[in-house]
Amino acid sequence: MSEMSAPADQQRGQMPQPSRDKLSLLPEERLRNDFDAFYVAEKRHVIRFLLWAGARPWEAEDIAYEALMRLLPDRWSTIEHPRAWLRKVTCRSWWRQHERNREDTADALPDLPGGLSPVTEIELSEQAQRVLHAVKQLPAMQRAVMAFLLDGADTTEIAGALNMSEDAVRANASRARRRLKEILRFESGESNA
Amino acid sequence: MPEYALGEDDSNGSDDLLDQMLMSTHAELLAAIDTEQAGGHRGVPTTAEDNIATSAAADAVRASRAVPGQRPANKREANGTTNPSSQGPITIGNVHNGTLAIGSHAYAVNHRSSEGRSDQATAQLLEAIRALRADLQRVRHTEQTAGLDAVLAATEEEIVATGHTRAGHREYLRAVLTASQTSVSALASAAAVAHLLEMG
Repeated sequence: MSEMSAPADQQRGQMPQPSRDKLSLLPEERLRNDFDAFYVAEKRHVIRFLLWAGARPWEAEDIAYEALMRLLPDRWSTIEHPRAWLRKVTCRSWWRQHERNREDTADALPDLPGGLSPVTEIELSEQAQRVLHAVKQLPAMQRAVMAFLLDGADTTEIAGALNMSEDAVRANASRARRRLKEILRFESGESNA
Repeated sequence: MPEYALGEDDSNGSDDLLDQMLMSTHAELLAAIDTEQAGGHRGVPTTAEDNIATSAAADAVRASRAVPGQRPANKREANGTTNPSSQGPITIGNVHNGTLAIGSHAYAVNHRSSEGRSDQATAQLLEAIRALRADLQRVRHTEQTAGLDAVLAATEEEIVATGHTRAGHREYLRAVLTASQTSVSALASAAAVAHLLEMG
């Protein structure tokens, strides 16, 4: 899998670009030699990626942190594409955790927002909440594909990360977008948005 | 057409609107994450040892390690041109509020508390939590008080185990305490916990 963030962002010339942290635009060599810089630059992006994939803020923070932890001490210096690796690993980790939570219906303990994470809630505008809510109504695979796409991954990268064909990626993306348009138009009462 | 439209060709413009909403939310999420993290940042891990310090299994993992916390000290080590383990450092782990390391390539890891609470404030909170839990045994047992007690117990356990509470736990405890106000409003210990949480 090629490194996904910067190259894909550069290709997306016509798009309104999300604001990127300056650190993530530092030369790759700098980030490769500075784990702290990589950590600061990437963790927030991975948290956002997981939020799109359907995780709650504290879950996303914990999963991102644990994945970054796995890069230390040695993996960090040898792994070829740490950004792509992070997204692949965190996405799968989130799926596993989500499945466990779904199975554990008899859990008597309170669901503690925060868990091991300092991130509790994030405050969003009404529109952003509506968009996130709409994305959460998508099937897990479509959410994951959208999360990768919004993070700048291309079809080939997503296919590799999610272990599916490129056609399947396109189909999931297409269905996700169609469904999102239906949901958002329905919720906002717009018929010809 | 946006790259991630992946073949969608919607001439009525709804694709553009969807893209605008997605990208706007995408940017907003990052700003919101930054704001939230600024309030309770866990901090950049400096070593694997530092990372696991937040885990409930940290002690067990440390105990299982012959040489804990070996971070490449320089670029040569990071590239694998030296073998740190062959240096034979002796490390003494499990020192409260820090780690002491001895050896030619050893280094000391300072376990940073990202919460910014003083030991004294945490001790006061622990004391107040215990007092409230004791008081809860004397009031009428309801679903609300049981839920509050469970959260108090979890927070108490965290303080005892780690020496601090995470922002998330404090926020949650504050919310549960507020929700239980009708049951515990007469308890001075509840007011004390609420006050200490506010100060935190």
